[in-house]
Amino acid sequence: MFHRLRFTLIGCCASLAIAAASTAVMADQVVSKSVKIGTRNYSADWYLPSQPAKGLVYLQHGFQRNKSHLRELGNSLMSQGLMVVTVSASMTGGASSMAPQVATMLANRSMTPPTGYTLPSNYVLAGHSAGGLHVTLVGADLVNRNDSAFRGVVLFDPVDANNRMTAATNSIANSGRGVYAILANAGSCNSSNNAQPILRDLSPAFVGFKLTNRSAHTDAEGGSSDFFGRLFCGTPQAENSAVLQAFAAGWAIDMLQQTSSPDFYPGGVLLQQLIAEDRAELLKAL
Amino acid sequence: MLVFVLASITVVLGGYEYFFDTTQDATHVVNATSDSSLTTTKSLPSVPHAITPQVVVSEKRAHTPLPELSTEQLTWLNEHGYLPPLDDQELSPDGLVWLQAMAESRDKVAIERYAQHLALTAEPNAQLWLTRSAAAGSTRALLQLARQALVPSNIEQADAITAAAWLTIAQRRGDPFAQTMMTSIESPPPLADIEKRAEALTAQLATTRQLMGFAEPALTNFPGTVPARLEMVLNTIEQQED
Repeated sequence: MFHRLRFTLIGCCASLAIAAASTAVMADQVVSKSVKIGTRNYSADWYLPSQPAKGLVYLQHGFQRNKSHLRELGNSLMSQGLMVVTVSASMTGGASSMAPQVATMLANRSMTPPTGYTLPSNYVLAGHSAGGLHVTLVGADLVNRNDSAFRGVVLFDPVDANNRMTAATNSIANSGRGVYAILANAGSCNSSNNAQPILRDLSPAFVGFKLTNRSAHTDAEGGSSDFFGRLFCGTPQAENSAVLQAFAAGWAIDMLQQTSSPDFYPGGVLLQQLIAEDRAELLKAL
Repeated sequence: MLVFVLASITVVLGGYEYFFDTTQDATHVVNATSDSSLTTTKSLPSVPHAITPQVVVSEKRAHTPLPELSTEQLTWLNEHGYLPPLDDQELSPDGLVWLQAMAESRDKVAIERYAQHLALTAEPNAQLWLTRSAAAGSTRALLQLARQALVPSNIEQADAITAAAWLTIAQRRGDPFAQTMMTSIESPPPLADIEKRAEALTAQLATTRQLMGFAEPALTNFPGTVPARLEMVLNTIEQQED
């Protein structure tokens, strides 16, 4: 009943959002519009900022989750001026066979945003859990294609499978593109932090941090998590989700606009405060 | 049934409410048993005061108006771990020691909380304690066992038959979430295979139940139209949190 209700609500919201897009006053909005990846159409949500977008974030959910579980994160990124697209897809094993199809779609700019919106020139990839592994596989493929519009990846408690992440993240980092991650404390849902040594050993001096104060795998989902997310992976903490959302937006915007906002890097006020309060540890220090 | 809170344990658990059945003795002494893992001897504090499920819910969800549920229904929700939501990662190291001691004393609720904590933190003996918890009657443990079969240590080596078998047992016990989770299994295995595995797992639970000295759990102990009302409760919480 709940899911039917939610889908109905999403449908209604989508209709309202499309109607609103045709009016003179534009507001941030979320529109459901599928995207074609390979030969299949995938259900997708588009987060459309009212102002011209600073860039596109292709945001992928985790294993046995769907796009609705990233609603809060998507809204947060949109509020920072980023266009976001989230796709519901099976993420088993990081969906390695789907990765080249996503890379093709992104490299060819074959994704069409809802009517009235233009696809931003540059984009970053972001992913949670197995979705994190997925976007690193997509990213490595895009590096091979030498797509200069691809600027880097932001990973939320990523989980490796079959040692695929090492080569993929090294490929992206060694191409000069950004690789940033926010990990949660070790647990069953992140395979006991199996991505931690991979990220720590990357060549850049800074690759992100681990949230250490009651962090959970579901922090990326925040208030959009559900009963199963909480049961299996722990209850997200609002303060951790807020930090994750702020840094995700900060890093994404910096990669897209080739800027560097000190707050989000070592020596910056925000990051140093987290470390001083024992709420975070640099991955390079672990 | 009344539900009590161990306020003194709440202190060492870092504010984490802790419940157990009043039919058990308030002071637990853990004795050595035939089970090699149950060997600790430790005295635990007594229960200082009682608290009703409604109070527990209102404390945990102060801003979440719940639909009207009977005390019996709320008690069921609490006993099965659906309300309030668990946050076992809040456990301090000292709190974990106490929880483990309580679990080893065969307190059913402690076993459930301890097993879920071990599952969340990927401890190697999570499966053992989840099985004990399931044997004690926890359907949440069955869901967690299904999840562990589905996502053991990585995200590729899923055992869909075992996962579906655990969920089948949970369905037979009237768990309202088992069906939802069943539908999330990609490429569902043949029904005959699931039934056969479910029989084997049921036998395993019976053996564990006998070793632990637990009574046979009721097939379904959630009264009347409760699954629908449970869904309503959870919907309310979801909507509040979205």
